[in-house]
Amino acid sequence: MGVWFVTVEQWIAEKRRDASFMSSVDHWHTLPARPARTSPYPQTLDARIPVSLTARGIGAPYTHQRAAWDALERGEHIVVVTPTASGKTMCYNVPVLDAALKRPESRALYLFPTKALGSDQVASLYELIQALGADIKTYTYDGDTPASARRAIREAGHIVVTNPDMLHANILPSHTKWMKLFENLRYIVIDELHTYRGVFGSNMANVIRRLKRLCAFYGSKPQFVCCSATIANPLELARTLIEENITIINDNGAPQGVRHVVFYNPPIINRQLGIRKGAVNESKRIAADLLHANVSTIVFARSRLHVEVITHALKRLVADPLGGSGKVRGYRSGYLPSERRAIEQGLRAGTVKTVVSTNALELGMDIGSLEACVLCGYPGTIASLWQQAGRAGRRVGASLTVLVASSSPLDQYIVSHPEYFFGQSPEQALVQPDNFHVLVNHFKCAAYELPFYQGERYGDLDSTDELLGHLTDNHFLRAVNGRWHWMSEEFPSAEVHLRSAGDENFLIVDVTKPERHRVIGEMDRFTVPMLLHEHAIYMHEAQQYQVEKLDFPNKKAFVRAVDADYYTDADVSTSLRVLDVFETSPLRVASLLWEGDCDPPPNLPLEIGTKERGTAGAGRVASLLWEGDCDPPPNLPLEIGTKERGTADAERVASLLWEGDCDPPPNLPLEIGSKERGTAGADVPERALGEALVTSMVTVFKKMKLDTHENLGFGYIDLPETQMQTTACWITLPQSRAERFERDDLQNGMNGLAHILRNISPLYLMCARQDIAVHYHVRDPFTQKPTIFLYDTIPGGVGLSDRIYTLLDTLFDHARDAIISCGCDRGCPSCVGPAAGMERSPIPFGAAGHSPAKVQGGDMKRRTLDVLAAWRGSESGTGQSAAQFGAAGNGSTLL
Amino acid sequence: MIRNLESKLRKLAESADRGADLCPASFGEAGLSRARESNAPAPAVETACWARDETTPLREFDGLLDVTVEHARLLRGESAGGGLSDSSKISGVSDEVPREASSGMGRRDGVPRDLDGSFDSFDSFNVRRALFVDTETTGLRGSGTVAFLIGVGWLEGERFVTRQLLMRDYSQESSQLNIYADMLQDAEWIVSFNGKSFDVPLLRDRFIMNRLTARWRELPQLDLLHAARRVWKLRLGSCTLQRLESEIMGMPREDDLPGSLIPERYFEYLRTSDFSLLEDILLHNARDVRSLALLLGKLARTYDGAHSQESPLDVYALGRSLDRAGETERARQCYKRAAATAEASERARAALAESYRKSGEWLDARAVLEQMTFAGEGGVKPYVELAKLSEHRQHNAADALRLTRAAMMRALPGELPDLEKRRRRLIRKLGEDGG
Repeated sequence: MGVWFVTVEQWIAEKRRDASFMSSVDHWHTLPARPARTSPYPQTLDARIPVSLTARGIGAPYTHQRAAWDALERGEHIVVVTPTASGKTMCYNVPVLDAALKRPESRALYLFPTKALGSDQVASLYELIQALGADIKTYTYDGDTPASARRAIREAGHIVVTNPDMLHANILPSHTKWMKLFENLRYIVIDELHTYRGVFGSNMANVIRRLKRLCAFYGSKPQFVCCSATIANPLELARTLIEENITIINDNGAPQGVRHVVFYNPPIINRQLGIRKGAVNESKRIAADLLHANVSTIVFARSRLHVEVITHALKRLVADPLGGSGKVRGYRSGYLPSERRAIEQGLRAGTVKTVVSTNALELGMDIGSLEACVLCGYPGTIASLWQQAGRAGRRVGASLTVLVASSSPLDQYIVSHPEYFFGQSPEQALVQPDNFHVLVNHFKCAAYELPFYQGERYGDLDSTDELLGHLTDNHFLRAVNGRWHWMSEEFPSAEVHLRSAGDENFLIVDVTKPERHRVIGEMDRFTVPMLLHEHAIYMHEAQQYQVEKLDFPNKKAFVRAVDADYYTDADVSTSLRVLDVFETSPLRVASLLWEGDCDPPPNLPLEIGTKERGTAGAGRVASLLWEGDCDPPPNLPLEIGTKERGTADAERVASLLWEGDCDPPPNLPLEIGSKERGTAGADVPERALGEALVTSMVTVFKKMKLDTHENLGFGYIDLPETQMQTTACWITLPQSRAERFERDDLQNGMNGLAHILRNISPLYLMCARQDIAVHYHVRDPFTQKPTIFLYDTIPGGVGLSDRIYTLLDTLFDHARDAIISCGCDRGCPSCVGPAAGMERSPIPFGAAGHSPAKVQGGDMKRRTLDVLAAWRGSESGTGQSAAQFGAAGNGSTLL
Repeated sequence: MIRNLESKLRKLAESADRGADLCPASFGEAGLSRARESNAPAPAVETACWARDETTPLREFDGLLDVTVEHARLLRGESAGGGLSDSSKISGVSDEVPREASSGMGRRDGVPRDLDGSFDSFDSFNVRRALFVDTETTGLRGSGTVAFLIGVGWLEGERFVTRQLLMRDYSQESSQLNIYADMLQDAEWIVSFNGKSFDVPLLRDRFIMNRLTARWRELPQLDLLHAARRVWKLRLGSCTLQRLESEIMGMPREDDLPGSLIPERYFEYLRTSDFSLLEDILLHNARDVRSLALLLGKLARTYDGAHSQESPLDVYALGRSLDRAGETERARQCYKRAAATAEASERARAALAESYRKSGEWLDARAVLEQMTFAGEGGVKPYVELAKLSEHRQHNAADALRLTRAAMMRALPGELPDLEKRRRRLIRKLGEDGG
């Protein structure tokens, strides 16, 4: 094949005419170009800065950069939320350098979530400092910093670049060595703020509490500058992490060329099982096409193995005697910094045309802007997708992003719901700084670092009395003269790892070479029994290992490299027991969601009108249909009561209950607005939030053949059960509705519903898949009803269940949509999963897509939709529901 | 507010009773009622720290009064004329408090000091102005570790005085540090065992934590751990103070409290107020301080009679130490003495040859290396060294080639490639020189 040199615009036009390509395109979105908006440099800036920036071609800052500087000048804390390549780093580098120029003692601390990112930033900051010709010292302080250099950094570093782990384990506990930094700390820069979510974020929030406490001791009051990718709640996240008032800077002034975003769904090859062509091959094909057109492209793959596969194939395509294969380069985390620099330079110089990367490197690479980006699979969050797509985002001229969907449920949901992607990002970065586990650990660290005094506050906690009392009673602290002193040999920060709350990770030791045992990874103790039991086949970087010995007391698994034609699948029996109920309320009534074409009327209560509330109130309540078990009350507004209005019975308004925390608005009909009303209300689906004890035990494992998933045999596992206390959210189905189902149908339906809820909830929680788990009981001993539980898999919980509790309604909507729009006939791993075995409910990690052959007879899809409908309070009986859902395929009918 | 913190605490307590693994082990026996009671801090306690002095006649410390500037220099591993290569320079902690005339130890004016209080030369060492310091602490590192006991020794007239400053509770730390600061004002040196990296930085940290930085003085240090290691590590392997006491000073400790038990013992004392728990610690610390003085005297005597030590390994080690300090002649004496013994001859000869080579005494170097080849010492090393001397100093490539070939006969497989390179180079050189 020859190389035809075309522009990306020509390539795009070509593809739009290509019917076979377009038949797989589910959605083609074009974002218009946007010109630059700039402001002059502020007068207050040290004169050397504008001069040197202008010399570097930056004649005037973008409006958002100027806004950031002005806010900092006013003494505010800020969070900058603008897209990739919009010059975010200038928002903090300029004020930091300005401060260092004006007052040489002033110090700044830069925090990056990873080491690699930190060193990239130092390199670019260093260039800026050189251009200024100023003596401003910037140092990276991380695990690789030699001991000999550390003292100089502590003493003389104007800008110290480090990561939260070093700050937590090294800098804070020996703060006396950093006196100079703490005394003069002017700015704290936290880049990639959105990565501090879940457990990591909860830990980070507490590290910041400790940092602020030490600054106060040394008499400094630094300003925080945070930068975040686009998420739903950057301001809330920043406030939770920093616990200060924050100004948000999000009016991007950087220019942007036209951007094409294409959702490409590989053709279905087995409709019954919902199997599509592989995303890897399709991505490879598209990337090869772009490569032939000489369009500079980055391909993001989800694993290192995929990176290697795609790189290899692309290199072969362009291999020629002149060594043209150098035009294609892999780019992943294992590469040395010098290799990465060489690739980055090659990209800028045009000698490298295609880069294949893992999405681990999505953050802040300095590779300039490319013309095209191919995503092999949905990266897991919208924020990541935008950030990766941002790599193809030139300031002038068109750029292209192609998302190639895999068969996974998340991918399929995304490509079939482009509005979800292009609408306001619903992903929340959740942080729970007061998670008990996390809080106690960091409180100990804080007490170690500096004695607490009576009445001292810790973060936004109301009071520290209980914690102090607790730690005193356990002899960690000693109270004397109104101060609490650390009284233990323990070094508390050594016990706490920021990136997982389970502080009991197991080490995975490769013993293949007897002379050189090496640690190849870590795993949290709750997952260990499932994946690292003896004789398990453990996959690590595409290499199979067999577990030879699991040393449970010493938390080590010894593995040996093997070449096996099977994988192992452990049978986990999980039980869940409710310990405490924090909150309970009726599951919100399905039909009270605003789904009209127009905006909801202004007098509609917020809880009803949440969906797509816009600016205008058209005053027309289109689709608030009455769907109670009884007839609608006569005094219900016509717009709500239109459906099958029959013999009114005002006393039985079961499902239209007011659920707001405030009083119902006066203009709401009485029947909706009375919380206590409705004798029938006792029998509605309920949701609850509480604490649960999850016990899991692994007793047997199966050996499954790799390609056919054929069962080759099984073995017993002898391991202690693991227990975890965590936060859970659960929903119950009233017996009156459960009675409609045969037991098997109910079980299958619940299994399907649990499966789909578990699959789609990470979309809303912006958490990793394994952070949340689902469990169900056809009859739960605590609730005495059919119950589905969703719980945090992190001890104590990090706020995911809390969030689900408020999101259930939306989750149910999306679950229904996902099932209906799934291309399969009767259920597949992408939607409701395989049929349940009798009495065994857990959804094992990664079960989806594991083995489509597992799908058993019976229409899982229909059963799941029936059960879902029962939960949503619809009248549908099992018989007619299939037809009803068929009709619902167009998305206009309510359940 | 933390949701249900109270209930969580209660549950932790219950689960501990059940023995369930729900919580960090460390929170075993929390009882909420007790947690409430203890919220009120204990009533104010005395803030003055406890102190005790003991004296020992100076005659028991052999050699101590004879320690000279020269000894101090050797013990610090420095060469003559060199400054303090490793003065602990900590900015932000400066000596702002004027030094006052003192009782007891006396002082000397006119000693040049740089800004952060360390001396830039040590023509001043006087054992009578040294503080012997050893601390007992609640841990090994970090700001949560306190030195609850500071033991300080000094010479006063004909006596060696040991003063122990003990915090009977955390509230007394400030008083303890202030008393120590007073003692620092009069001192010019700190003598310690591993104090450079442990005791002194820890004390400095405590001054910072108690907002007493203005009272801190950074003094030059004589860390006997490093000095002792240079002399005895080769023979003893480990050089703990206890081991030196039994092996070098001939006074093993009986029934001493192991250092690792000290923090827990102190915590137990805080919980119970049973002062008898501290007696072992106080005794241990007092012994440590006196051992510092004994060890300093012993080290000085050892250097004085460097070449006449009983153990050839010690003789050799002292030679190395003297060598590094620029005492070439004394070092060679040690090497020669050690070379005459079976245990140390190989090392000693190699060091001696190196010493001659450095000073350009090629013939002497050659003689020693040849002795090594006769004795079969040092593997290929002496052959290679000889070959280098032949080639570069005596310009005899043929002899160098002979020696290289001889080396190759004795080489281990890993050493061959380098020798082969050398051999080829020499053959080429010979070819160019004379066909």
